[in-house]
Amino acid sequence: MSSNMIMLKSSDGASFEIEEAAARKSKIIANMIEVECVDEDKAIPLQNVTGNILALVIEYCNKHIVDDDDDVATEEASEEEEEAKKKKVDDWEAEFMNSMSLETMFELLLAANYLNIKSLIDLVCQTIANNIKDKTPEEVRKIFSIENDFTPEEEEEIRKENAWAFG
Amino acid sequence: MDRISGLPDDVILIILRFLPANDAARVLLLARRFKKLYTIIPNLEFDDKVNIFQGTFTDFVTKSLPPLGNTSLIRRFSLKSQMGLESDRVNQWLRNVLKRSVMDLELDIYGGNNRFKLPLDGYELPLEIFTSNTVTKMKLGKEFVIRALPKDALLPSLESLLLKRVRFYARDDGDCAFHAFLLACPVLKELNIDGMYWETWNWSRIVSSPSLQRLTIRRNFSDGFEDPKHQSLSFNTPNLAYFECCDFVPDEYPFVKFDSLVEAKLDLCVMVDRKWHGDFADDDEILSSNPRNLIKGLRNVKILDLTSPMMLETLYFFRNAIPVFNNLHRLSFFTNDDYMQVCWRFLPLLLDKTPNLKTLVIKGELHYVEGPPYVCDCLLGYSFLLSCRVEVMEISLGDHRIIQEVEQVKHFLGKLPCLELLRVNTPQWTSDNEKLRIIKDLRRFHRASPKCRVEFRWIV
Repeated sequence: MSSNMIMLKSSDGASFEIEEAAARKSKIIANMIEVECVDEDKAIPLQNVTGNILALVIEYCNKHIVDDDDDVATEEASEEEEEAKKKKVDDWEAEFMNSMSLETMFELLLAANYLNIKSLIDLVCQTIANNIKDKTPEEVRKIFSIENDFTPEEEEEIRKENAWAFG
Repeated sequence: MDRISGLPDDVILIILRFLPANDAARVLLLARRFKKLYTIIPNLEFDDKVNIFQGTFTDFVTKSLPPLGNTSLIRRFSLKSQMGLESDRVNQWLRNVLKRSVMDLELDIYGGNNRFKLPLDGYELPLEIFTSNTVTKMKLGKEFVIRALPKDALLPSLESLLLKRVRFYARDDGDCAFHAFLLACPVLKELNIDGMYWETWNWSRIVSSPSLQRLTIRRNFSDGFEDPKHQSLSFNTPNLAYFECCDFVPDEYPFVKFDSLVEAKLDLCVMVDRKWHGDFADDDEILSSNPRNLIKGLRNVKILDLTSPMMLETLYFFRNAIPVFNNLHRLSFFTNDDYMQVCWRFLPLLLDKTPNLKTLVIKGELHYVEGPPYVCDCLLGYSFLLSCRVEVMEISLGDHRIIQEVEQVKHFLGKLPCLELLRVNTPQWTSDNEKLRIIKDLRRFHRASPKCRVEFRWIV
């Protein structure tokens, strides 16, 4: 089965070839393809995404386009197969997120947001949320290098307002 | 600026959607950047019996909820209604709330599918309820049916679930919605099924959860049971520590995995011909119920509470299944009241299987016969007490038959060799003369254990 390939160009000038179906995971690119009739031998420039981040985005899209195809193709897949497949994707996603630094994670989130890839935004946001869950404000500030700009009085006030959460 | 504060507002709000409200409250405290973004409503409760409102209840709830697009989070949402509410409206509200980090969700409305009703056309939950990242505690009721869960059903935070008169159905392709629900709750610790009329469900008949620690199953016996089909129930709950069950006994419990069970509270009622006629089964009746595997499955318990006279009879009928309860140190049972009288023929059998029992609590009346020597034949003159190592015993006196009851206490004191404390509860309203007589009698009785104290409590 042959499929359309398109070219993407990162802000630092790197070019990537990607299947159109995978690229369509990005609403922005899908829109460009539809509205602007992308020239086949001309790369789509993405000013806000660097090459190393774009490579990750493309890896994610390639992985997920296969799964979407399967969804349509095998309507009668048994429940076990479905579950096994879902677990495979979950494991891949966990490994994918595990392999990158916090810094890269935020770059990837901004890229996913710019390219409007909903499932990738959710995946990164969930991973960040997992880093916040069940931790004290002090611990979270440390992980993300957040500067506390409250006065002690203000902080006390917020603690009081939400006393139920600081039991 | 740090990376997380540098994210656009809408992206920060997406992160929050994956956090339960108490974590979201801690995020507020990180820096001003977050404090400006959203607020948290700790408690939103709607009850058409309690709230005061003008116009319809539906309008009142709709107006009180934060509108879509507003960034308020909600910690707890509770909706109670005595009247039927429009399904679409309820589900709009739930979808709204589920996007707001809600942790505690309570739904107590009438779904219009009671246990006798077919076809099922009442209220159905929105599928979003099965994919919440944040809900840790959920109460759902009542009289609705859960037929199908979405494929991506997952409640990764749900620890406590209460179902009130909810029925489960299998989809046409045979997938059991109850099984799928438990599968979608990987950290579920507490499950309470109030009104579990399982014979009216269409399901796999297995309660299976590796994480579950507390399970309560209840039904109202007076609703009866009449189902001609073969019925079974299985429990695959290896980490269950607490099991409470008030239920009819099915034809069998094919599989019972209670390896970690510490405490059981039981009221199991056996049936004849899969029917219950409202009374104890007679000895010569052939029972359709068979609780053997369940009784055997209790062998590790430390605390056992038999909460009705029917349960005592059930144990007697299936006495051969009673395991040796090596860990059991506290046994309590509820005996006769004005409505149900039962012989204590189970007691010698059960005490014989509890070598390490330390505490014995008898709730309700003591067992006696009217005339001297007042001890029923079923108790074999209480000879079994001589080898019983119980140290603490608690009983209640003060029925109208005080003479007969006090006579039983004579045997407890005179035969239990290790007894250290006998606690006697007597109603406050017992006359002073009567109280004095009880105290005098009990002081007078011989004690097999010289160190035994008797403590009186006058209870309201």
